[in-house]
Amino acid sequence: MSDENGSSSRSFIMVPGDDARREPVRLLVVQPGDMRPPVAAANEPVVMTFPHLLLRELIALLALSLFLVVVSLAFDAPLEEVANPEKTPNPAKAPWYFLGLQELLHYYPPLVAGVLLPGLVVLSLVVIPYFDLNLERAPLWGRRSPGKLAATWAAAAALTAVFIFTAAHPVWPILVPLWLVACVVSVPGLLGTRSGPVGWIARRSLAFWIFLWFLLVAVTLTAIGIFFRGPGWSFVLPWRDGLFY
Amino acid sequence: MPRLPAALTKNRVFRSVVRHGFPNSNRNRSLAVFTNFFLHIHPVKVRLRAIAFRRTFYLGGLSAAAFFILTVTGILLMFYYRPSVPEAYEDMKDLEFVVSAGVFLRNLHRWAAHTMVALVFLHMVRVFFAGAYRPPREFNWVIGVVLFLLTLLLSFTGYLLPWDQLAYWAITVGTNMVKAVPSIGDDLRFLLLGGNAIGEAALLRFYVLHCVVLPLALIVLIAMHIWRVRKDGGVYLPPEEGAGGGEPGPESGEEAGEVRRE
Amino acid sequence: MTQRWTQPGDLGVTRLLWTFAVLSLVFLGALSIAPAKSYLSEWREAQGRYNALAASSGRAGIEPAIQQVWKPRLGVVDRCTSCHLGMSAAGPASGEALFEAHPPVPHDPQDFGCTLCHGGQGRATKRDAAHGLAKHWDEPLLERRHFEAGCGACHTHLRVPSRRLEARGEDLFRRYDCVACHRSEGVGRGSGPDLSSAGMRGFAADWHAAHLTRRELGEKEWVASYGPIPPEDLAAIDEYLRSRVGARRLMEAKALAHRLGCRGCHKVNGVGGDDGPDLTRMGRRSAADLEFSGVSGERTLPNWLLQHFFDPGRVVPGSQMPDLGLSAAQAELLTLYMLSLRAPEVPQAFWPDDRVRALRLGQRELATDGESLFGAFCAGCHGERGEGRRYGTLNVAFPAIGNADFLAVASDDFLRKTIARGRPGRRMPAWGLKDGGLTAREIDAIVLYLRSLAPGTPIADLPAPAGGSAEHGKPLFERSCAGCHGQKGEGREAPALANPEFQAAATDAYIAATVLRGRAGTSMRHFGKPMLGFAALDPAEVADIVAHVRTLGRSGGAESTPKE
Repeated sequence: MSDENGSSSRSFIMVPGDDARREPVRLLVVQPGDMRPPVAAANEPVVMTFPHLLLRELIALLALSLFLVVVSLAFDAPLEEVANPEKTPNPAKAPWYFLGLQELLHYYPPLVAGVLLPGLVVLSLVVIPYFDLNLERAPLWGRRSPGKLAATWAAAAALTAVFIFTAAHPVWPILVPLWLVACVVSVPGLLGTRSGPVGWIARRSLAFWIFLWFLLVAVTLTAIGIFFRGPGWSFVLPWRDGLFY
Repeated sequence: MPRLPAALTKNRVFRSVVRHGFPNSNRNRSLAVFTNFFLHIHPVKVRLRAIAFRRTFYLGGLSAAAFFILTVTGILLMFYYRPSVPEAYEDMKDLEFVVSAGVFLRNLHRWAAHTMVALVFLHMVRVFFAGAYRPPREFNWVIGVVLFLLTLLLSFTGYLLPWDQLAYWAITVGTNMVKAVPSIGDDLRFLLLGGNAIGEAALLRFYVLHCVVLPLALIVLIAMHIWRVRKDGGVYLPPEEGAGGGEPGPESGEEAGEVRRE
Repeated sequence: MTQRWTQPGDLGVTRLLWTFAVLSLVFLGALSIAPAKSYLSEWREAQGRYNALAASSGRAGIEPAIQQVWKPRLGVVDRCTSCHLGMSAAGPASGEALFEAHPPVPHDPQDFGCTLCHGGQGRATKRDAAHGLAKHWDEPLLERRHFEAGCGACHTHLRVPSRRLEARGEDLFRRYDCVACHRSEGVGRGSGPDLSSAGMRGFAADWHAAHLTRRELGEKEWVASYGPIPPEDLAAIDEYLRSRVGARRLMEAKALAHRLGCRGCHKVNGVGGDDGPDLTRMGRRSAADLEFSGVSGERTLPNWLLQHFFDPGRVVPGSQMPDLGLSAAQAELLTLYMLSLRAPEVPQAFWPDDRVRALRLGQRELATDGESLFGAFCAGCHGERGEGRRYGTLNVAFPAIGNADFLAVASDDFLRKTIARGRPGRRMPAWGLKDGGLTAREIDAIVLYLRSLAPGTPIADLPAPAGGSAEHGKPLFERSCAGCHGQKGEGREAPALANPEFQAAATDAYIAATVLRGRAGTSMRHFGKPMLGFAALDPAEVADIVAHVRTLGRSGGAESTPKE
């Protein structure tokens, strides 16, 4: 086995000034011997994809497989009685990842809960990157900003009103995260500092907060749907009434 | 070099498969990526920051790995499964009772499916909070959103296939939501189920969607997704924490545009 | 951190490789558990024991494999014989109960598999799952003591014989010494055909003539042992033979249910009253769907049924079913009968004769003499001999229709109409062809049987009351009748007089005669004579009452009828 680079390049690392380049790496030509790459070197450490990254990926795949094998040995996938259209289970639950939507059906008519709200969420997820103003460079909050503070709370109040007046039951799983996010958002505006954790909050963009709200709502609704709903979609406590899933 | 390995490697056939030498030099390590399929996914060298576990938790890669496991176990399951009405459930029972390690196979597929939904969701959350959806990666984010929806649909269509009570009623609840779509809701549901109620036609449709249509769509989009990540400079890294003391500069420093400008 | 990584040299690749190596080994180890688990199965272990037993008795063992009885047309895939090897082609091996042969039954178990009769989960190859003890399996194995219920999986319409005729037939069967040549249910000594399941297999209608022919041929033992039998005895013996279906306890159970009149309120296979739940699928009810809060002991269908028979109201809150005061043995029998109601879905090609006869040829699954019909449809409410009933939990008393006073005034026409049309809105259903499904001939048979309960012909020409005044009748009615029959004749514990069908069926003469004579042995006293401080009603007063009763029908004492 020949080694053209000799023992000097046995290391897997390319330190700055070696043959590493500024990212992104695009190896166009492999040059023999000690010929230098023609472009400027990268200014941060890079490693060879093989073996560093590929081995890690292989290990990750292996770890996931091992995890799934162990889970599969320990727990059997559910299989109930043969499908029987005449026997409705109570409660009839969708797969767990749709239980957020099913929970939403408890508050809104199907058109809103099943089509409008999820549609809007997906639409806003698609649209977010195109409207992102990258506020990390110009933070959402200046030093003290009563105007923005007022706007934030007005928006939260308006959304609250919309969600309360349109829903059949109080939509706590939507409103609580909303106000949680609104309160956290206002901290830099109230304190006026831009350092430490408050500064970190101040540097987040509006999109960040909207997404955080979506995320909290989705997780809350799904958790309620999975754990806290029983026969007739009544509210149950899993530790008291058992798990209906 | 001992004789046997030399005899095995120094011949035309081996050389036609493995085009590079033993990867104990950076040249051969480069060639290992460069002359292989891996080049479509990774460059020859990656930044040290990008491969740290705590940066990405490998969520994207693990999602793809879950999909790979699902494909393998899914194909194996297809050998034992008939998408028609008494047979589907009977095949579940046969899988449980007479197929060697059949329960295990089904468990693996089932749990991998749930895991994949969770992984894809977490991947999306991670990517968002890292800010990696921003230009120039905004369209890749859109592809990601579609991939997430496809993952949900794949899992959902697979849910019906065992044809047990759990499957039947979960799909009933799920497809009843489709009815709410204004004006075309009922037709849409009819199209999805091949009838007004869940029956053999729905089972067949879900089967075809689950085994052919959605996986193909997912594969194509995953390929685009990964290719775009690759072209946009790999895993997104925020500019300010450059380990090599790089200047904070415009964040597109590691984006593809930079390379194209070379 | 970064410092370490940037140092020249190995840079953690060795660690990665080790991680990879160890993970790979652990992964392969974990992966191999699954096939190992499926190899070390219960059936393989059982077959190992079987082979050991076979070897010790010098017989050849079997190749380890899953055995199954596959009947695609019946939807039967039964792998029970993978462990119950004595019932497979391999044959029984002594030494373990699991490997015993199937006890002799009318069918060859290989013909229909196991689960069709026994329940359980045929596809399963693990003990608990196969016996249906697993969650999400609705059909657990029938317990050994209930095995005859499995017959109901096909034999839905086993014919209930006429009790009297069958008893006589059994007696004659012994007295003519049929058991000299035949065996029946373990009795008998001869080498002739076993008649234990003659009713199921069928037998030649001219068996008697054929026997005589053999006798005339002069074979010695025939001449000595056989002689002519009179036709009425033949009918009784036939009845007895028809009821020998190889499932004695089940027949006993079904006969009991049809003597207690269960089908007066419950439909089975479309025949019966509709006051109680349809029982057609009762034997297949899933224990998971039943309410066990009022049931002590195990959560199984048989236990639920048994306790339900002892106290329906406790097991099913709000149940209208009376406590029948059953003995333990009777409750056990009824449980067995309920378990046999399995609403089978076997293809028609596999229908047994009894089912074809009932469903395609319209024959009854019970003897159609008046007594049998009365037992099946009427006895539940009116008592086994029409003595009337008052059940503890109900506030309604059922009329004593076997009462001599009643039969004396009720014309055949009245009885026929009442049976055919019932009393809408009350618990008496209509039994006519369109409703309860009894034919005119069957209704006649019931009427005839009723007559036999109190011998004596009805009074041919009851004096019809004339010139009654409803106005005068009203206060009289309210004083003397409303207490039991209700202010508007809506019926309380006594029958509803405002009921349109009653009004249609009852003549004025009938009502008047009933008022005057009363019903001895019931709450209806005779008003024709003074009694307990009540003055006797004179015929004019009775006429007034009758007139008033007629207005009740028109003004709609029953809530359903709108007032004019």
